[in-house]
Amino acid sequence: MLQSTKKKWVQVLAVSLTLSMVLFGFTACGGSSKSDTSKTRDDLVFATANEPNSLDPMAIANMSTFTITYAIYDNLVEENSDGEYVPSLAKKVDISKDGLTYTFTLNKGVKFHDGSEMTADDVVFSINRTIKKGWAFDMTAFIKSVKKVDDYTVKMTLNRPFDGMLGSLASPFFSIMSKSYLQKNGDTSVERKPMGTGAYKFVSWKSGDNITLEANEDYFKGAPSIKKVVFKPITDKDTGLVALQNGEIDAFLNINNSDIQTVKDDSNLAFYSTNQTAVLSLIMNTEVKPLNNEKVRQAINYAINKDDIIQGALEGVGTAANSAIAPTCSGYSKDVTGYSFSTDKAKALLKEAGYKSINLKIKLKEDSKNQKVAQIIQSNLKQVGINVEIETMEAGAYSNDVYVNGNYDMTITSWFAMFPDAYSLLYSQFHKDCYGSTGNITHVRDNTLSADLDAAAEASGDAKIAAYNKVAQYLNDHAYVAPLVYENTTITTNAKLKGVEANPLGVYKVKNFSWK
Amino acid sequence: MGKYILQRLGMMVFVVLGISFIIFVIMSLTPGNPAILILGQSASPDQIAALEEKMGLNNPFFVRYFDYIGNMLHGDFGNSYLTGLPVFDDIFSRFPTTLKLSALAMFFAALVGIPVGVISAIRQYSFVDAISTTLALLFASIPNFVLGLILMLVFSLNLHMFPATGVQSFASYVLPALTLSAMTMATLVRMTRSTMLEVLKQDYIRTARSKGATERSIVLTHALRNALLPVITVIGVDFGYLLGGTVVIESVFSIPGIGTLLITAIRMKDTPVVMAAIMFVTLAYSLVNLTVDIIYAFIDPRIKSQYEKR
Repeated sequence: MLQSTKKKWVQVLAVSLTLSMVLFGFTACGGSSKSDTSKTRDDLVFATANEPNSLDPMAIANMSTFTITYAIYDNLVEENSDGEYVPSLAKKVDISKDGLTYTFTLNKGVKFHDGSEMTADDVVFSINRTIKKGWAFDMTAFIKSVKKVDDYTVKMTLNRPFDGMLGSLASPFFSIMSKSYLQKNGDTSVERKPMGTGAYKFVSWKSGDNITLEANEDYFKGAPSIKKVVFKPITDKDTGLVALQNGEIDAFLNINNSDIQTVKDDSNLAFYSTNQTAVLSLIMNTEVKPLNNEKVRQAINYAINKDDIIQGALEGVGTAANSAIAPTCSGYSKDVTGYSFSTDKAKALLKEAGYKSINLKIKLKEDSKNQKVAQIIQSNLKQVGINVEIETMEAGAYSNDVYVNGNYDMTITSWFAMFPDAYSLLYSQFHKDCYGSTGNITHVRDNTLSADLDAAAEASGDAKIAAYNKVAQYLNDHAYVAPLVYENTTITTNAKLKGVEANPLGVYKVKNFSWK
Repeated sequence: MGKYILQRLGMMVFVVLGISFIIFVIMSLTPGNPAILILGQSASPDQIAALEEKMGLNNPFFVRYFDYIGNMLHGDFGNSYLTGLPVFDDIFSRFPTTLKLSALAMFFAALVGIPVGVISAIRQYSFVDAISTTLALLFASIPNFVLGLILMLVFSLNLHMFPATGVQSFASYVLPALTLSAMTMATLVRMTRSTMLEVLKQDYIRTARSKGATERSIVLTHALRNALLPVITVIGVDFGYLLGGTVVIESVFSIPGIGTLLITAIRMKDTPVVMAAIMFVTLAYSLVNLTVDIIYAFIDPRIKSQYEKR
């Protein structure tokens, strides 16, 4: 080649190399890797599934955001690792024999993060705010009144006994807020600048980037071990795994099922898993022909091969559901008889119902996991003469059609309980008073079922299990829904993080974490 | 020249207003009620109706549109339906991130694309040429989230050279910008190569050679300057693609930019955020195109005189 072109080429190369070295020079100082920890850390980076839309528990749209509010707020009682409800802000709870009166004796000297003391006024204010907001209607419906007796005593009167009252009070909707703070700064102030009594104080929220909390050294149960918690939104699960392996984050929820083995094989990571308080189900609109025919619904239940779904859509992770209640919810029983896979029984039932072939549509929100589930159901149902079309819709359009207008045949969702109790799972979905957008999109208006749900809510102990057994069996017998799979909820953390336990709701108490 | 610039700036205003109208129409026509999305599905019809009234959702279309434009002219872009905070603050904090990402991506694309294109042209049909055109095809075809993940696995996880998420340092921009630049880089390689080939065949190049000019001065001074015109056009047009293409990259690398803000806002029918975000992007894109047009004037005197004729 010509000397000049060779020289030119060398020059171009030289310039590129120099520039690259400059770039790398920057990266040498920038690229941090937290994998070597010679001294014990005192901070935690916790990934959330989405950027939170608000920090007001009454306005939150994503379950993972409740991990943040649990760090900032306390409740009257809280759930311990054995599933029992133990004192928190209330040092004592007295429940009357008839289950209608709850008397809470509050701890004295508990301070909000701004220094003011938490008293009965704050408790009454917070509970009334929760009632007014309406979101927790299935829990607040039992509360007749809540009154201050004195500065440290609150009396709550129910209109019917409710076994899930303590569980409800421990759930994020009943976080205790500061009456004076809200009255001074306005009701919406807590959406961006929360004020609680919890183990962590709110420091800052950089939109889309992180929410930072720091330890409340005066926390009434003792300052937490980890001094700073940073919550970062990471929506992509592959990125989440890389970030965990890189040491950029310390905890990530619900990694891809296909990555579970990789994580288990990695000695730097720890993996925790448990059943969700939700049941992946095929929801049928019982007001639409031919789904209004019980035999058709039963046939659909028989025609679905749940194992296919677990293997084909969920990478083999999960268990076939026998009832509409999740195993981690109190009231669950293995004794409820579900539908086993039987194409023959399905065909026979359809014949009895007088249908040779049926056309139905499954409407889905843009969500890839349920897409695969739908496809498997589509091929299952084809075997028995039911032709299914799958329609994927944008979130607003889906919500409009399925929830607001009830304009759909079938859909696939997992309804989440707010506390691990069958009540929280079933009431909004199947009670006739919750018809429509409040949760009962199956449009079931069955008086017996509603009465049984009401009775089960008031039962406790063995009677409760028996009562929910009855409800779950009734739901199965009338095929008001097709429960599919009990899925897992998981958390993957840095192996050096202690105090982590898988939580069925996917909500975690970072105040219990510490570093080895 | 100055007059030309002023005229262009004037037209930009109309473009932005036109876009704002179109977006407003689209947001009004799509299904989904912001009041329900804000209050949640368990809200009662009364609560929803009250919020709709408060948000002014029941006013006729043109009333709502002109209200919005009126406020905008005062610098008030409204409050996000979702967070209740002034829209301007959120966009102001995120927009620079997206801009930095797009600018860096464009820089990488030009840094690699143009020289490689030039080299391919000079050494047409050589091994270098073959490799670079093949790689260009590869980069143009690979979906950018796949490329992003591959880069993340190699350079972040295995080599620990760059962080995988966030925007704490300059280093965090490198991988996402590289991913974003792939498509444009490929386009620039092919574009530069083809325009250089064409220019090198011209008579004036032959004249320069016969006058004894060095090969280097021919390539850099005579040929490149002429070949660059279409290339700069591509840079201008592709900048728009880069601004829009950040959505996926931001999602993969967890970067708090305008892309993710816009997607969430569109899903939740958070009209004030959608309007403001799109108008900012439109503005940025229009300014880039104006800059590109001005650069033309400095590269090609013929174009400069055209501007001045008006």
